[in-house]
Amino acid sequence: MNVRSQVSMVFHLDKCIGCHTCSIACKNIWTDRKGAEYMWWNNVETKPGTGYPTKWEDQSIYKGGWQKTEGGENEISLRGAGKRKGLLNIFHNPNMPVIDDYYEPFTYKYLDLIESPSMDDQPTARPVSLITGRPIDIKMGPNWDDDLSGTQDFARKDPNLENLSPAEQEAMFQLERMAFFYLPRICNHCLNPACVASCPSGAIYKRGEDGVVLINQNVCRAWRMCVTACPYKKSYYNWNTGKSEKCILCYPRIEAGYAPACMHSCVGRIRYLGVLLYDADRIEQAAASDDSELVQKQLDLLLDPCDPAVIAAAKENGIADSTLHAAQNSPVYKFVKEWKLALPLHPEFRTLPMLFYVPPLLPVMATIREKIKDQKLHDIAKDWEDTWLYDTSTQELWGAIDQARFPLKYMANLFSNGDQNLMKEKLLKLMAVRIYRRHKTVGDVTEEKSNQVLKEAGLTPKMAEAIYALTSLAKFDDRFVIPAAHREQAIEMMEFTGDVKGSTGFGFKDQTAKRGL
Amino acid sequence: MKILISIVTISFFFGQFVFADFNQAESLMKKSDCLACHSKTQKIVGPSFEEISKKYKNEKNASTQLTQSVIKGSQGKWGAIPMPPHPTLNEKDAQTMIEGILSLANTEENSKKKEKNEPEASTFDPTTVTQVDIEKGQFYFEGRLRFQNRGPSCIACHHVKNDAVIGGGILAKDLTSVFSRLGGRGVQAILGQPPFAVMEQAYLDHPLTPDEIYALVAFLNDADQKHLYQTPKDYGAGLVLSGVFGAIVLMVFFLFIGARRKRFSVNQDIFKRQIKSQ
Repeated sequence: MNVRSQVSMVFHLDKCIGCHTCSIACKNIWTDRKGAEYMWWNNVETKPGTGYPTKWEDQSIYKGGWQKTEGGENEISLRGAGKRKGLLNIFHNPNMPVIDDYYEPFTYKYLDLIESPSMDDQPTARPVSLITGRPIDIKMGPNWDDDLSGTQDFARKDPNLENLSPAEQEAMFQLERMAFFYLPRICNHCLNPACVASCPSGAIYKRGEDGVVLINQNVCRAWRMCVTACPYKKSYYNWNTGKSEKCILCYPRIEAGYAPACMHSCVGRIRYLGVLLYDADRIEQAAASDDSELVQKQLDLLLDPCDPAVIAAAKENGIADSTLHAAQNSPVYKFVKEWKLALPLHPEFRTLPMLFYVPPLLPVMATIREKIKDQKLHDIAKDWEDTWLYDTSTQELWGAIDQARFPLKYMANLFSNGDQNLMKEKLLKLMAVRIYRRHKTVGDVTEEKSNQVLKEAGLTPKMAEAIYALTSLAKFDDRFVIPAAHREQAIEMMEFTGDVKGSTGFGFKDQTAKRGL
Repeated sequence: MKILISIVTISFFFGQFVFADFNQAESLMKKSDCLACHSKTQKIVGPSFEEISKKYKNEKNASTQLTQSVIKGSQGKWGAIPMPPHPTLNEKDAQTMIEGILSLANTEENSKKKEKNEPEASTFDPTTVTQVDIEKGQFYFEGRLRFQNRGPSCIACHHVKNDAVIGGGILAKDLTSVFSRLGGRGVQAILGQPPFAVMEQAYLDHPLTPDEIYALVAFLNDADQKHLYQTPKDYGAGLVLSGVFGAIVLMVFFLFIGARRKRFSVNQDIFKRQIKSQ
C-alpha cells in the first residue's frame, strides 16, 4: 500500500443554479490576460448541450484520454499520442481544437457610446475581437448553449445522447418534457492524468503533497500535446506567451488555507473540497480495468482515513498529521465513500478524475405518465389539460425513477460509464433523504414509509441527517476542509533550501516565464 | 713600423674575413631552427642563402637590417610566406649568421664545388612512397587517424581537391598544389616548424612526428600529381530536376500528413449560416 493524499472535490449538481459566478471569479483572478481571454479554467455547461469547447466529450473528434491497448491485456495507452503516433506527427498535432471550437473572445467598444457625437441614431458599441482587435460578428461564446438555447444545434448534438434511441432522444426535447441541469467543470486533477503522460517536454506534473496537476511555465515548449490529450479539454494554449495553461486549483490560496476562488464564490454552495487518501500502487490496475468495473475500481483506490493500517502507511509515506486529520474530516470522503453519493465525470476516459459529482435529482423529479381518467390527482400535481401528466409530488416518486422525464441512460453516460443501476442507486439515495426530510418537516409522509425508503436505499436515519446537514446547512469550514500546507517540507524533498537562506519566501520566485519559441 | 701597421691592418681585415665564415654561421644555425626553411643552395620555404647573399651584396647596411629581420621576423621581401621572429636569439649570434651568409657572395664558386659533394639530408623521395603511406597520409589529413600528439587534423582548416577527401576547411590555403609550390622539403619544413602564426599556435604543444609528416607529404604529393584528373562530377540538368522532384515528393508528403488535420471548427455549419454584418 502506497498511500498518497489528494485534495479533491465534490460538486453537488442539484444545488447549482447556473449563475457562472465561479467562472467569473476564476476569470478575474487567473485568465484576464492577453492570450488567455478565451480560456475558462472553470466553466458551467448546460446539459444536455455540447459544452465548451464544442463537443469536448466526443473523443472521435479530439482524441483525448486513454484507451485500452489493442491486444494488450490490462494495458492502456493514450488515444492521441504515443511513441509511433508521436513520431508520425512530430511537429504536427492534428486533433487540436481550433479557436472557433472554443470561441473567439470579444469585447465591446464601450467608448463609442460616450464619445459619439450628437446624431439621429443611438450610438452602439460594436463588438471587437480580443485576438485581432478588429470588429467582428460574435459567433459563439463559452456558454452559448446556456439554458438549452439553440437546442437544435447544441443540445441535440450532445455526445452523451449517442446510446439513446431516436425515440428517447425525441422525447427529451419535447417542449413539455424538456429538462436540463448545469454542469460546472474545472480541471479534475486526475490520478492518471493524460496531459502529464502526453507532454514531450515533461513540463506537467502532479504535485506530490496535494495532487494538484500543474504546468511548469518555464519548461513548457508549446507542443500542445496536453491540449489534445486532456479528454476534458481543460488544458489551454496561451497564444501570447506560447505556453499551455490550466486550472491550478488556486494552489496559492489552498496553501494559505483559503478555498479556491470558484468554490469560495459559489452562490449555491455546491462545492466541497477535502483530502482523499488513495493507494498509488493500484492506479495503473484501476485505470486499465474493464469498462463495467471502472467506476468501482476507482472508488476502491480511495482509502479509509480512519483505518489504522492506512494511517500507519500514510505516516510511513511522510503524510503530515494535519493532512490525515483533514482527510478524516473530509466532506469529499463522506460524499464519495461513506454515503456513496458522488461519481466521477466520464470515468470511461480512464484518467481517474478526482472531481466527483453528486448527480442531479431535479431533472428526474417530475415524473411523466399517461393520465388515467377520473383518477384523483395529488394536490400539487400539475394537470396540463392533455394526455400527459407531470407529477411533481413525492407521492409516486419512488416507483417513478424509471419513468423520469430525463432518461437515466443519459445521466449514466455522463457519470457512470453507462451503468444505469449505479446511477439509479445514487438517485434513490438522494430521493430517500428528501422523503425522510419531508416526513420530518412537512409530515405528510409517514415515519414507516420514510424508514422503509431509507432502508431500501441503504441509508440509516443518522446518515440521512448527516447528508441533509452537509448538503443544506453546511458552513464554510464544513464544506472546505483544507489541510495546512507543508510546502516547506515538500520543497525540501527536492531542493536544498539552505541555498536560498535569507532571501524572500522560500526563494523560489522565478522570473516571469518567457516565450519559449 | 709602416710594415707592422700594414700587417696588423691586413690581419685585422683577414680576421674579419675569418670571422665572417659560413661554416661557423652554419653551426650556429643548426642549433636554431633556420635550416628547416632555408638551405645553402635551394629554395625550401624561405630563399636559399646564396640568393640572399646575392640580393644584399651591394647594400651597405644589409648586415644590421637582416639581423633585425631574423630576430623580429619579416614578410614581403621574398613572397607572401613570412619569416617567423626569433626573439630568443641573441644579436651577436644572429649577426654572425647573417655575415656568414653574406660572405657567400664572395666565395660562391668555392661553395658550388663543395655543394655537389653534400648529400641531400632527409629529402622526400616520391619514388619510394608506397600506396600505404599515401592512404595513411590521407587518413591523417581527414582526421580519420588522430595525430599522435593530438594536434588538429589538416582538414579543419585546409582543403585538397581529391576524390578521396570530401570537403575541407576554407580557413587556410587550398593545399592541392602545395607540393608544386614548395617542394617536398618545403612542405616537410612547414609541417615540422609551422611559420604561420595560427598554425604555429595550433601545433605548439602538439608537434607532428616525422612519420606523420612523411605520410602527409606523401599524400600531398599524390594529391598534387593527381589533381588535374580529378574534376567535380557534372550532374547537369539532373541536379535541378532531382531538386524539383524532391520538392514535389515532400509537398505531397506534407499534404498527406496535413490532410488529417482538424482544420474547421465543429460548429462550422452553424457559423456558415449566421448573418454577417460585413
